[in-house]
Amino acid sequence: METFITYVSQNGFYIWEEFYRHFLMAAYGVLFASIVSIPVGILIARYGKLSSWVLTFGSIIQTIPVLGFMAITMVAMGLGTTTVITTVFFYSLLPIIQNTYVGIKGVDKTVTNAAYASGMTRLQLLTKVELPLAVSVIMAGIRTALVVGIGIVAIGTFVGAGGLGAIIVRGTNATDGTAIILAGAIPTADGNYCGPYHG
Amino acid sequence: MKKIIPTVLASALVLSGCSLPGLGGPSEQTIRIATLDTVESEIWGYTLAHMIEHYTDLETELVTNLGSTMVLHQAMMQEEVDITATRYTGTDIAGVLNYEDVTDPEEAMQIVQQEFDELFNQTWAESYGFDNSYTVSVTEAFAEQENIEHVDDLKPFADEMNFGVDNAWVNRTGDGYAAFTETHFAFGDVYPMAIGLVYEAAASGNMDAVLGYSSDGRIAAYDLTVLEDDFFPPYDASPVIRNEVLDDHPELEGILHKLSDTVSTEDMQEMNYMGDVELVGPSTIAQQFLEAHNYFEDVEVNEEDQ
Repeated sequence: METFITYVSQNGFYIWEEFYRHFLMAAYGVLFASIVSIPVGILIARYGKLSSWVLTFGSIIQTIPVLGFMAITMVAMGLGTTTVITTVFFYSLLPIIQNTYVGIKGVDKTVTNAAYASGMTRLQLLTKVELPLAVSVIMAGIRTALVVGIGIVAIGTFVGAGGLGAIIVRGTNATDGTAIILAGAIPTADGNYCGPYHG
Repeated sequence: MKKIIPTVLASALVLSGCSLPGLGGPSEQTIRIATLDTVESEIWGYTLAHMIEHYTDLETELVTNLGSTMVLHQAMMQEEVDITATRYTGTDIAGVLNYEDVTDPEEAMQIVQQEFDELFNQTWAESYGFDNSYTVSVTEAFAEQENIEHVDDLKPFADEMNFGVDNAWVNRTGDGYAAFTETHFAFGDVYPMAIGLVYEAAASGNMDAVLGYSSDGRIAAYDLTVLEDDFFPPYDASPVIRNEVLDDHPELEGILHKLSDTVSTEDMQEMNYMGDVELVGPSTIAQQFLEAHNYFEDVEVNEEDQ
């Protein structure tokens, strides 16, 4: 415990820097995934036939081990943050698409019928009725994606992207490096907890 | 659909452009320094970074925790990094250049300097002054009890011994375990593991013999004895830099020159001990080292020498 406090007080700025970097990589990945996934989710909710294909595609990505996926991405995109953000992007697709799909499908039929009856166009129906009612479910999907993303970024140090994973690996290579491992792992867990409220 | 195509394109563009606010992308004025996942490599990565920032207006970015020398080499070849902080002659001769049986340190240095310049257009700078060779170590108590000094003295015990080794070494061609067994003998069981674990594994008795690094501070700290050996090639440590980067920023050559021959193997053991056992951050160690030597301001750099 004492060594932990010493380590953190000596390296506070470094830990903060890596934390910021870590969080930013996860946030960018999820942000780009949201830009793609939310429209896709809306689309498959409307054209039901596509839904099973899209969701299967998303599920297949989830079955690939992250480290392997990252290694393949690295071959194409090289070392560094881009590879990590791309990986987070792909792993975030399923939770966000699925939640958007479920959220919009879950809107009560009587409500949409009433909206139709009152003369709304399709666009109005989407922006004024369906999306506001589905937003909490969609946000839950983004939150899940961010939690997964923060975990993925921790592995990103192996492709030279830094982040809190770098601190953890430093700790595993040191003798009795528990203090360093904790200094890397606690902010990671912390990021998992408070991340979604910022995201 | 109209909505989706532009957004996919836009995000793909941004993703491949890779300069996102807050994460700092590569630019003309940024020198990217790659290090291995050892504390030694990170110390030198930060030393180079501090030196470059001290003497020039360039910015630096560290790419840390790369798994092996092959990864460093690939990163250099694909121009993803500009400098690799620690390269060891023996590792690159066997792993990258596929030479065999080079045991003379000076010959080794000459080979890598010449071949890297010709084949890869990279400059292999002068050594930092220390070498970090692989060494077989056993506990001091065992060595004294059985009177073991040379690796060959282990032969009678080898069948019964657990041998803890570095992940990166075991499958290497040229100077890996296969070649080791040809020169010496095979151990009973071989356990590849993260290099940081081997010293403790030996000290705690889980491993009977381990393959460690000679510059590692934990050899002395854990009362291990380094055995004599003539199997491993020399591993003098140097930075390697791409020639294109040197052409763009000639002032870097002087910086590398200032750092040459500044740290002995014993000094390096001490610095590694600070990082690995006392848990001081590599950046802090580098800073202290440079401040103690006043950033080598006094070292004259004579352009004509080079």
